Amino acid sequence: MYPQAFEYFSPETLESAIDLLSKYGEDAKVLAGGQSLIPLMKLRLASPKFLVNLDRIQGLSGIEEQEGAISFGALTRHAEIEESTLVKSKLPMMHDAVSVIGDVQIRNLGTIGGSLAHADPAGDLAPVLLALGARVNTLSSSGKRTLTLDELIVDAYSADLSSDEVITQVLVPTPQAGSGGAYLKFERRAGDFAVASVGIQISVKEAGSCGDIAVALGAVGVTAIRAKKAEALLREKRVDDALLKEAAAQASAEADPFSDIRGSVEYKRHLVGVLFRRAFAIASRRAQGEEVNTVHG
Amino acid sequence: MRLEGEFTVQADQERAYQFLVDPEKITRSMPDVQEVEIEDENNFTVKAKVGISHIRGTMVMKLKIVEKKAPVSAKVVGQGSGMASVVDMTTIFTLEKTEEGETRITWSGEMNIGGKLASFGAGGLMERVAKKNLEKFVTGIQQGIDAIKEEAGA
Repeated sequence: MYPQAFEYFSPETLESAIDLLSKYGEDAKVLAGGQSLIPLMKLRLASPKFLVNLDRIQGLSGIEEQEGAISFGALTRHAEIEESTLVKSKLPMMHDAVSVIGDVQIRNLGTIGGSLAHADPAGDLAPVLLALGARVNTLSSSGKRTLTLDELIVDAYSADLSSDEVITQVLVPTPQAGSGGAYLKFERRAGDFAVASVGIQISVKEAGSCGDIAVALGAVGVTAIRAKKAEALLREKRVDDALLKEAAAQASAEADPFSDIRGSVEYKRHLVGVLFRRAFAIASRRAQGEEVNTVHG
Repeated sequence: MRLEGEFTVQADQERAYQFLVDPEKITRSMPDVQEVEIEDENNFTVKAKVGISHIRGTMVMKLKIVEKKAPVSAKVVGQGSGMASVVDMTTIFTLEKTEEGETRITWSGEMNIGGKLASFGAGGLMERVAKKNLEKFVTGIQQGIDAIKEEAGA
């Protein structure tokens, strides 16, 4: 279908973009990569009367290593993140996630800011950024704000952003030495949304043990979920097969999936348990310096 | 999908029943209603906003009250369309007096959604949206019926 008629603006500065969003309020929507919004508009499931395109604005994209964190401009395309050797070496879990977002065309245009603002329950970046403790910077007519992932994404398709608020930057704290992470997504076919996904970031002091750990589950709830009870079972412990099995079962129980065409509640919970064990194994190996690939071809 | 629940109102059973089968009163309890057209005492059409966040649009529901068994039960049948989707729903209300002289209303509904909303994203999401809307509707009814009691000075 064709979208309903709308007016289109392509401002050159962030300030003018915010002015436009302030002016038109709930009737306006930000356009970044358009990979979630445009399909929705074509289905007429979203029909904003005004679109404010951010593409012409300079300085909103790019990956930069800063003091203690890696910064991503909100308009950085998934493809750029996928190709970044900095991200692949320091944030392998994030590399895993962007590599499996949609398909090549989607990754060429889709942006990290847009992905977070759209807040799809099955999105790949939210669980990873949740596990990594990322912070999101925004700008609106009221000024600047910084939010954690769980402060930003509050419900399905619901980011806590006012109608004139724009995500400007995502900051990921640089993991300490001896850390590793992995994100595994189970999809029914290439380019699909996850049926279930698990992202695990850990630090390992010696083989067979677990230091700090963060586990995030994707596509099994209205938002990404931190599996805190599963984390508590493993944090600062020696990990054997029995403990890992228990933690996987706990993570499964912390998922809150709904039944749909991609799978039943039981099936999705089962997937969480399986992906948990596999992601943990890969995260451990990476934490000990091994290079492991999760994406096939 | 099947949804059900129960709630209690402070009015007596007869008054509560009259409220539930009055299209004018019922539509005032519905959330985000933009337009109401009442054809007769059993047939009415409602246009309402539906959705979560930026995924929203309007739906037009044609509703019909059938099988009235005053003051115990009633059935409402609805057909809606909008947002490239169709909704079919059937809801049954059952009323009974409680010991405290209040009325307990038990309802159960079957809702089937077809079209884009059903296949878009996570299908089970629709159940959550439907539940949220139903909760608002039920709260609206509770407030509406309790208000009659105040008016009547009961």
